Amino acid sequence: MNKIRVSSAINYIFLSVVAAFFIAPVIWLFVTPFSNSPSLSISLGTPTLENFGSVFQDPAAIYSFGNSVIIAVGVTLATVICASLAAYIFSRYHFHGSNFLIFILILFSNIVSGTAAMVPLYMLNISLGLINSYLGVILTIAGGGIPTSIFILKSFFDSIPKSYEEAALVDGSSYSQMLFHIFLPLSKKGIIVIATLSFISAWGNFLIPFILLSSQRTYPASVTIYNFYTEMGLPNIGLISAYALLYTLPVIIGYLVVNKIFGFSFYGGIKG
Amino acid sequence: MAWIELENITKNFGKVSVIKNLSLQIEKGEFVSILGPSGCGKTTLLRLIAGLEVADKGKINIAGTDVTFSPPNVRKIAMVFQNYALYPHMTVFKNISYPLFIKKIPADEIKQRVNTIADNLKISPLLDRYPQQISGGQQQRVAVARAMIQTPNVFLLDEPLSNLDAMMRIEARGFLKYLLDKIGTTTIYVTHDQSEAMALANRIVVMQNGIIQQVGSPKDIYDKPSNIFVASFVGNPPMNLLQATINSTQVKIGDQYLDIKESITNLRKPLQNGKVYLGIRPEHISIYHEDSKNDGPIVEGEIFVSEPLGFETIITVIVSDQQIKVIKFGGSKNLKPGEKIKLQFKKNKIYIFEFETGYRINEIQGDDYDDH
Amino acid sequence: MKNGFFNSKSGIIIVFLIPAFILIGVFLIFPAFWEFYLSMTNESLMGISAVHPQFVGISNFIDVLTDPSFYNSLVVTFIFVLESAIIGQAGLGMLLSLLTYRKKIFRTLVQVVAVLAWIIPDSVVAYLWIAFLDKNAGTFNNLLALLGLARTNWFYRYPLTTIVIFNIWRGTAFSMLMFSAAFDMIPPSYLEVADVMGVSWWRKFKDIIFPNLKRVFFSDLILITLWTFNVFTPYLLTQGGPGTATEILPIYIYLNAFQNFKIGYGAAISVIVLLINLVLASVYFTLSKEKEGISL
Repeated sequence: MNKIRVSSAINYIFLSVVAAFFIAPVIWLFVTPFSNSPSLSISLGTPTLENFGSVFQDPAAIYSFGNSVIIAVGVTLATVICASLAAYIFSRYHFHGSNFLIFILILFSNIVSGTAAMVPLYMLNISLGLINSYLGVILTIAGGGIPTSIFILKSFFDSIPKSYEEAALVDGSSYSQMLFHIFLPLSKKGIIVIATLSFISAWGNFLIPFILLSSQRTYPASVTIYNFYTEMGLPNIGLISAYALLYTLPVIIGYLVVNKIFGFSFYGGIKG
Repeated sequence: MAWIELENITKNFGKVSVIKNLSLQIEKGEFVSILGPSGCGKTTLLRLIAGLEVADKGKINIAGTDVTFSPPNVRKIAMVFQNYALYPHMTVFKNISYPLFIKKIPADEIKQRVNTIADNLKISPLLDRYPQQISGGQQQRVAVARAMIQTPNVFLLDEPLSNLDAMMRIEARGFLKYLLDKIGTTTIYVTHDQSEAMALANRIVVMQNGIIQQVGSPKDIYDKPSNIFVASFVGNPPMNLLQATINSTQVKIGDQYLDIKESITNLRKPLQNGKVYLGIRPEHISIYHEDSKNDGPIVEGEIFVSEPLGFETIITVIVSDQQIKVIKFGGSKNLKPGEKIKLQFKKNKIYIFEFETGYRINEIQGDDYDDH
Repeated sequence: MKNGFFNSKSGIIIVFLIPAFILIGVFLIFPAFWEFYLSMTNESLMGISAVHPQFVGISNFIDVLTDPSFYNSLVVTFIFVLESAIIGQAGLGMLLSLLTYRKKIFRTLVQVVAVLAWIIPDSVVAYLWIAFLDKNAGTFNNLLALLGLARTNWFYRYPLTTIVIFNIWRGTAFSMLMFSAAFDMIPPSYLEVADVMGVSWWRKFKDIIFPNLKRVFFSDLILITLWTFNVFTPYLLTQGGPGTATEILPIYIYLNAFQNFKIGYGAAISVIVLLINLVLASVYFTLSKEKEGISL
């Protein structure tokens, strides 16, 4: 009995240390933006909202936020439209080897998208005249994320019985009426999840805009924050921390949405 | 021209042939039940009529129109699915009214028609609920209401009672028959449950392996099964089928000779000496006593088990290594396993089936429904 | 047939698949093949070859394979992947899901903090760690000072170890979520029977948990290995430095292609990375498909 108690005490101590390890670097993010003497250490001093004020006075911070919104919304639209149409076909029409195809594409997207393909993606955007444009960034990020989105949506669509659609057709609706009246409302949850996940992944993406965009005016928040703290001179820690928190909030909210629908165990496969 | 005509329909799924060159005519107002075990192609047949599948070969006519390649929405059909397929994001009202909404019928009229049908089906209090919030039996009624609110060329019902528990099923069956009789619309009803088919249909189509085995009235199917499959599929407990050898006057089961002269007087085919199946329904066998009147051949056997079910008792008897089930009405005293027993087969209820093909070769006469 | 193209089956299939396949084809599959071509040119962003790139055969590959800095990157990358992903993320993830098995509150607590570390955007976490490890003001060094230990500039003294630990912190959530979900799928009765029989925890793990976990285990390893192999986030922390101490292959590609403008050369490194990734993926598949299973 004693032995069990000791081992479970060790267990809990270990878990607490690990939890502390995960949370320690993050505490700064939630404290410093409200500090009247922001520094790299964690100290609140007198709480203030001044740092947020300096964010709203910094034009780069503001338009970068707007750029992030444009890019993330663009990626979300492209991904949701392309992936749900394709996932519908993969779910409803079985053809030989479709699972294998999706699997290969996911593997491919994990290997190719991002760093290993940064050189050809850059050259491709030059050739298509999309370099330094939002559209280039949007399509590049979307192209990399679509296979995984198709996979997640397909498994979601597979769980919706086909007989609802058949009933609608028998009840007299045309194919498009069936899709809009019946299928779309039934697959709303899955589509919200994919929209959220692709929004988050585009919102946080650093590498693609970092490579493809060359003018400050077009940088999204991810690149601007990086520039804030690597620029010459003393970084404005108050501004950076407040901006970082504002920039992080949509991601946290997004994950709470996904979690509400599926629980965290429905992992964000789009990441990476 | 019949109301619904299926002409030489063939349907394959990959390499599996599900419907094989099937033809069938259904008249207006008929209630036809398609009966068969799972995998026999009955649901596929219904889906072909609905337009949810397209035949590889053959033609389908509904109400004088060739619909072979038409999508479901132009066929003017209504269907009740096995799982009801009630739209989970719509209230019961919205579910029932959906077919009318699609046809752009004015809201007032929709409301009035939904209310009428909901009254008929006794689901008025449920109209504002969602399908997940009502019971299985209620869901079944809503599904039926959604079909009935239309004025279709044909009702298609795919095992509509199979998701209900045994008690509910009997009740729902009666109610369904009452409703469909009242409306009088042509109905095709797919089921694997022979008692449903018998209870509901004017005509039964028995299917196996994508082929129609027999088409006929419930009584014909029951009294004059055309082959072993139909004989053993319809009736509960099913018909006893005994391997036997036969000559012109006698049949031999194991080492017992039975005199069945009268049963083989009307043969469709000359009898060759050899193997046959002898069929006899459990209710056409009686226990023979010394004082019984002699109206059929007698075999001897040994009681294997007896199962009293209240009103009747099912007795399983071993006769020359083959099992025979007997229905005895009344008590089951003196029926101990291992006891010797004599059974008498009703002489005009004996069926002879060809061993190789399974086809019945003797004519069954008379419509006399004896009381047991 | 009477119905129009859009109501016919093949019409719908084609129309619905086209958008996704165009995007995947242009932005995923084509770049992979183009990379092979680029790796055999002297394409550059500067100078004469920027205007007229020429086919140079395998000379880029010869240059890469004779460059000691490539081998440095390769070694750094393998250490990084092995320590941070395979040992760190998968190991810690497994340990955490085991230790929190059927301890709902603790599991939720650990998952929430781990997931937070996992989801915060790259450029934010990078700065959080720069702040956390700052020699003079960072929280970690402040803690050490409180304990009477020496303040250390971790990014300079232990650069590779630091990004390894950073990456464990960053990515453990994924493995923990995968394993926890998989544990919950094992019927509790299996483990209860083992408990009744007095089986040791190691045998329980080896004979009950692992066989039930194998598929998840290998999917997890494939994904985190590939992700870690291709992760760019350490660039935001160290830019590959000091010197080349943290110059993992993605950073090495970036520096060659976009700082030195040697596109063809960068493509050649990328092709090698692609091939290594393919080999790693297929090794995992072979292992996961072996009937006998892998004993640890």
